[in-house]
Amino acid sequence: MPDPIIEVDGLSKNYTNAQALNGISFRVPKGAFFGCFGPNGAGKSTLVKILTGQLDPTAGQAKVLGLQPNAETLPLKRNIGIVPESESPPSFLTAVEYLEFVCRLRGISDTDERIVKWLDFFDLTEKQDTLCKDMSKGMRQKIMLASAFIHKPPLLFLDEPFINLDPIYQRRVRDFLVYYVKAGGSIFMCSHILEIAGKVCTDVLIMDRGRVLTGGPISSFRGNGSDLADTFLELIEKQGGAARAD
Amino acid sequence: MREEARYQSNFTSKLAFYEFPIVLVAFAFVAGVFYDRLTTATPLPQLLITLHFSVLLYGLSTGAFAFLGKELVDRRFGAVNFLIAAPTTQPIQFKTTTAAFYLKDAAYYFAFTLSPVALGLALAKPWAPYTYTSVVLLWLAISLTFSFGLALAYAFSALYLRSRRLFTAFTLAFLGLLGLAGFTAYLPIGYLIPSIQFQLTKDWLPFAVTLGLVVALSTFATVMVEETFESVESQFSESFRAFTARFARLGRYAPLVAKEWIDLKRSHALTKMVFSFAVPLLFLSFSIWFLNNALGVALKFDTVFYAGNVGFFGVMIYSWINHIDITEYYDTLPVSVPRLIKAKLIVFFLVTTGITAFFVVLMSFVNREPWKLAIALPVAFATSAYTVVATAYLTGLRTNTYLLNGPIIARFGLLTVPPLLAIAFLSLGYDLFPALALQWIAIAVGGMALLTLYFFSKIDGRWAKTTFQRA
Repeated sequence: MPDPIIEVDGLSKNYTNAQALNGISFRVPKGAFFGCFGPNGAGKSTLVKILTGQLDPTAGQAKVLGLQPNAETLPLKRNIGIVPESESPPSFLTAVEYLEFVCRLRGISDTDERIVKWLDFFDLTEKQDTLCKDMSKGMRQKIMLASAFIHKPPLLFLDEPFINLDPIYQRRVRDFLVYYVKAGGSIFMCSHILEIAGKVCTDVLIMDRGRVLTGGPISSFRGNGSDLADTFLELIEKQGGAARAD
Repeated sequence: MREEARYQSNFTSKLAFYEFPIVLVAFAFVAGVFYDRLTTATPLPQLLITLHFSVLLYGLSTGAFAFLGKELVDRRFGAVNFLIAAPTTQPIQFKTTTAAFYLKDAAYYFAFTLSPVALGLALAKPWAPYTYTSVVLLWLAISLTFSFGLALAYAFSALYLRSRRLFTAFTLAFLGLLGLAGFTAYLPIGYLIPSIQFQLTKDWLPFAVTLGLVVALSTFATVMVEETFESVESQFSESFRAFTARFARLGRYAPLVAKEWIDLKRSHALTKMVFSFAVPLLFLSFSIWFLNNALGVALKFDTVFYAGNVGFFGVMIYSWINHIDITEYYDTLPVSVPRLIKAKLIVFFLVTTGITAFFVVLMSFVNREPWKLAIALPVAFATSAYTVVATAYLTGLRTNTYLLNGPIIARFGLLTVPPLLAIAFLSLGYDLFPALALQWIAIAVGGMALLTLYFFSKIDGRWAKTTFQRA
């Protein structure tokens, strides 16, 4: 197995009334397109928040790019791109201004070139002077994606990256992500769109109720006429039945 | 009410939400225990009129529901949605949700601010010479005055959204009536604000009249609420780069300050902030002038007193700056909460320095004491810096929410009220003992400057582990 870019050991997260993560452990190899799947409430978004330094774990530890997310948050954020679960660019900046803002905060010099590239990629040039608050959800999602890609980070955290995108841009983003991994990048992605995930992911983790149900290379989920979606549904139904039996 | 409780307790706890009224009970209890001293210093009728004026201002300042409804729909609150925005997706009228929001806020203020004050006074009864009946009457009367202010602001704000001309005409008419009541015998103040008449005479007719006015104004405002909230797509040419260049000397804070500055301009918050800063100051000046000249209440404050107040009111500006936009996206960027707090403090000083100086200079000329500017300006800037930095230290980016948290507001009171009181007393004593007062004012200003640096240095430690998430 190549060097892990993410290492998680016995990670737990308790909220006041719920346990979101229950002692999970896994590794993400460098250069992987890693997919994390699970039904609503599985703990995926909590996991992303812990791995990106937005939440402290209750127990256990994690290392991302060799850094501890809860202790070395800023150095980590300089080296990763994050697309959060809900799109939320600032209300009163335009698309072009937000990308400029992100470049300034990240200390990027060739700002113009990069901004033009991503506005073109998402066909946002015509809307580049519109305030983010007045844009559709799809356009806001495109801006969040562009802001995560613009500094060419070695690792991307994507929480439902295809949400609100029409099929054209889903395909375009998917192709870019595949190219990005081939070029040496790594991705940690949470998604409910298993059709896309099954085609692009190299490694998979399936979670439910804060626990890891299974994981491994995508090839281990294919065969006997089944695919990732079949395995996922089978596991979740089995887990649901077990929970009901409890 | 449940929405309000959940929203306010979102970042603290349910307990903290209910601690705010407990703090009010405690303050009222102390006021009740010292009732004798208070009424010796200021006769009871004048004290009551002052109290009603404050409550009226409180009602006016919280009553702009029609504005709020539009703002809540126009602006994105991140993941938070309020029931008032329900008509955008549900078969219900804005009039209905706005009226429900109004009633909910009225109930909130009665339950969590006015009633605790009455309860505190009632609890102090064994140590005070007043009766329980008078406490109940006071509670009824201030509730009415508050409702009147609330309904008046609700009606005026609804009117403003329909017609600026009518709004201006009605506002001027109301101010004219206030002037008529204050300076002529044609219209006693109790006729204009009948709940004051009820308080002073215990006659139930003014009580019924105020109630009728509240119902009429609220109904009028609800009927005037517009049903269409069209969303407009705003476009602006790129100006972030120019603002970043303008603030270049701020180094790594330049992009953050530029972004905040653009927010202020494009959200039109700058105008509202200046208003929300200037209006209480002008109202304070007007109230003191009105109480002095029209109602014969003996209060004499000089420029240094106003300078202290102008600094204190800066908290509202800081609160506004924190309330303009969502901040969740910062969690995807290499920016820490303390860095953004400091950027917002820089914006605060950019916005307020000029207004503060202008107001203090204005008051020095109104009071015919421009020679006091040499004392008043340092007092204003020191109080302003100290109050806002202490507020930033205590509340971070969630000033509105944390200032409803009992322990935080108690700490806020402990940190800010003593210096303000010290400045107020020293300003009162200045004409009697100028050298001594000047010496102690210098000590107070120096002390506040040192504490400002201390709290500024502690912002990193207090907020370093916080994220930009709402919950």
